[in-house]
Amino acid sequence: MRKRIAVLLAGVMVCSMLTACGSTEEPKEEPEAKQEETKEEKPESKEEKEPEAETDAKSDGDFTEEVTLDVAMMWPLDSTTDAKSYALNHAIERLEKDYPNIKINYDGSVHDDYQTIMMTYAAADTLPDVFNVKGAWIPNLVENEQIGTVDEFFENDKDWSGKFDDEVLFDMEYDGHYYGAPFQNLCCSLVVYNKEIYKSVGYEKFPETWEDMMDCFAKLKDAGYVPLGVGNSGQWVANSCIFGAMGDRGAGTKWYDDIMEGTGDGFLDKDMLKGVEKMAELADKEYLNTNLNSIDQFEVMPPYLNEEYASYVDGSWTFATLIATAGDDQSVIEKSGVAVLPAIDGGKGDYPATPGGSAWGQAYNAKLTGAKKQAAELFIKYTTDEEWCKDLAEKGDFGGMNIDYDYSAISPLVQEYAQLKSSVKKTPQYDCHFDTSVIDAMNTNFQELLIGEITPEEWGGRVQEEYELTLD
Amino acid sequence: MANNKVLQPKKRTLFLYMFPSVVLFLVFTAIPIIMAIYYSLFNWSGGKKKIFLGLGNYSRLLGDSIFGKALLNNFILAACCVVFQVGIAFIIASLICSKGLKLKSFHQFAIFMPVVLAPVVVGFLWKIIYNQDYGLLNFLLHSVGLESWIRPWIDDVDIVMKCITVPIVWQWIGLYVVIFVSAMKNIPEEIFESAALDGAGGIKKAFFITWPMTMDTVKISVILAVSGCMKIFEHIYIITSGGPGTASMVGAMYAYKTSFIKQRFGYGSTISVGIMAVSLTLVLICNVIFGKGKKKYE
Repeated sequence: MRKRIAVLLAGVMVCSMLTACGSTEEPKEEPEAKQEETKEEKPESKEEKEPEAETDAKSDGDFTEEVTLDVAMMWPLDSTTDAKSYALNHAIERLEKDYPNIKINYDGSVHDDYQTIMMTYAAADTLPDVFNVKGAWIPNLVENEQIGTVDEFFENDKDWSGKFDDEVLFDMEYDGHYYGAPFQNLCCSLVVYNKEIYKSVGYEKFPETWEDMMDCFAKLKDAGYVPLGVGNSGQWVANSCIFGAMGDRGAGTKWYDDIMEGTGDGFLDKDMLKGVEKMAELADKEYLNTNLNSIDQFEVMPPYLNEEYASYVDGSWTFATLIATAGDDQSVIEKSGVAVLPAIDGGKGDYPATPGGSAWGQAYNAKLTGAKKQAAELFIKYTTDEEWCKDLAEKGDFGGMNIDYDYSAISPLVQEYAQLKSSVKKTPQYDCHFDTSVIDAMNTNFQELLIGEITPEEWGGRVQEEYELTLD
Repeated sequence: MANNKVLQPKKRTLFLYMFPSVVLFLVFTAIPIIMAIYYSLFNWSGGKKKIFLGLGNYSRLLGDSIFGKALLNNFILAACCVVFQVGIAFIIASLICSKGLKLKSFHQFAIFMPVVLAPVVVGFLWKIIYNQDYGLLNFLLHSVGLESWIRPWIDDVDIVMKCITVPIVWQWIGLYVVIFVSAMKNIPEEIFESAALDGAGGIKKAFFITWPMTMDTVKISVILAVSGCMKIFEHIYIITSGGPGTASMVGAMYAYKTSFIKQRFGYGSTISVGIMAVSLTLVLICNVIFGKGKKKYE
């Protein structure tokens, strides 16, 4: 009897739980579903039935219906150190003020996690309306019809699009079309160095030849400094910020062209491997920090600011964070300089040069139509235009357009970088164009190369294996 | 017998009770496995476009040295977890069940506490402990004058897997302690008393009474430890992401990197199916080994 009662009671409990779940979900689901329908269908029906009203809405600077844009980007809105977060907050404010009916549903992340999030969305074919796209992702997204071309946006507003240089548009081009609007102009391989420390070992400025740099690093090491800090736990810094320059110093731009076309010796190319050998030399002579694979690009900044590292390698995105990390004590920043990695003997590449361009751009989902697509166009403009670039400049960062700005007011270091940027040649950023599996093979094996676990030839052999799989 | 039949619920009732669990199992376990097997037959980079490869991905998997290395790391981890997690947990549980130990509740709480922490939190915690410049481990070594031992622990390919094993073992010992304590409390006290009368000490009691009488629990614990280690991901993702290079790569991490970093979702699914097959084989082996052991003691 007791068991019967227990079974009965258990049954009642299960039923009540199911009923409870059902009763709370049902009313919720209906309006949500209706909302979705409203979001998706209204713009379409508007486009089909009322094209004139839509044009009016646009010319009036207003949308007659509320449009919600789902936006996912690699900057959190509440960051106090990220220049992009600052500019993005302003851009959203401006957009929502000018177009009150556009609502932004923002999902912020950080650079190293963003790729995973976006790849998950892409695999499930549920990309947000507007997102940051990396150059290397574009071919795959285009093949799967997941990304729309921005050609028509560029055509619609030539005053805006005409301000982008070819060097920043290069990373966003695929098959004769542009798929992203550049929101930044990067130099991916830079050395930030402490001029006073370098001066103390007899170097007034950063060495311009590899031999001089080795001599300088030997003296710095003897003086108790880590000559060159690297934060490679994210695995991409060694590739983007060191190999991007050293590969080109060794092989020149033709090697990049060969890889893209599937010709040449690939990753067994002897000239390119000269650059890798130089990287291995840095590891062999212990000129790099020993914990380079367990700290990231931000974690190299405190030891640099504490003058334990004489210099560190990173890209132009470093300045805003470095200045913010230094806080009130800007003394180390004031005695810092910026340079590119030196030339190597017998190399085919140019000097001074650095891999650079936009690397990333603002893109939109190919499924967008009607008012939502117009809203996406506006969002993309607001997050790439001159105002955006000025906001970035205020924090020591550089947008996709060249603007007149007095960077010396921010820091002499940023001013020095602005001058360097205009004087160096830009070379292709390998990790924005090569196949993602090849990039991963490069990154993974650089970790081992830079702690002396594998030789440059082994590095080349392993990456070549992955590269050949992509050619198949 | 007749009573049992009366108390047995009707088939319809049984079906109704089982229905929610079966649906959950189908949605969250069976269907994803079937989908993974399906995707493993394609060259698929996400999105709509898929190229059918048949068993092409599986033949590639058989020759994949990184997959082999990742599995080896999983095996090493599983062996360490069986020996240290289950072994240490058995000893601690024996101590907790003995009469000599004071402050039993405190010990149980302290040992169980890491179990309730999220693996991501444990990963971050130990990443900080291992940090070369401000980590607790190097600080302690410095404090006791062992400067020569100071090193970048998780940057050294020779010791990185050992470093990762420590937090994993540390976190889950408490779980096995709880399992063993509950099993040991079920052993009738009279057996220990008569053994004591025959002159058996604590170690003899543990070996000849506690161990054989908790063999079923040991079996479950070993299977849990092995299967847990085969799917380990969070700790490694946070601490090293499988690096330096592939030194601390494990199967789940390799599947993740292949799918989400390399954008090879088809091959990533193949790796997942491969891990599943190996894990099931290991669990089967455990069953066979412990099945024999059980007969011996029965």
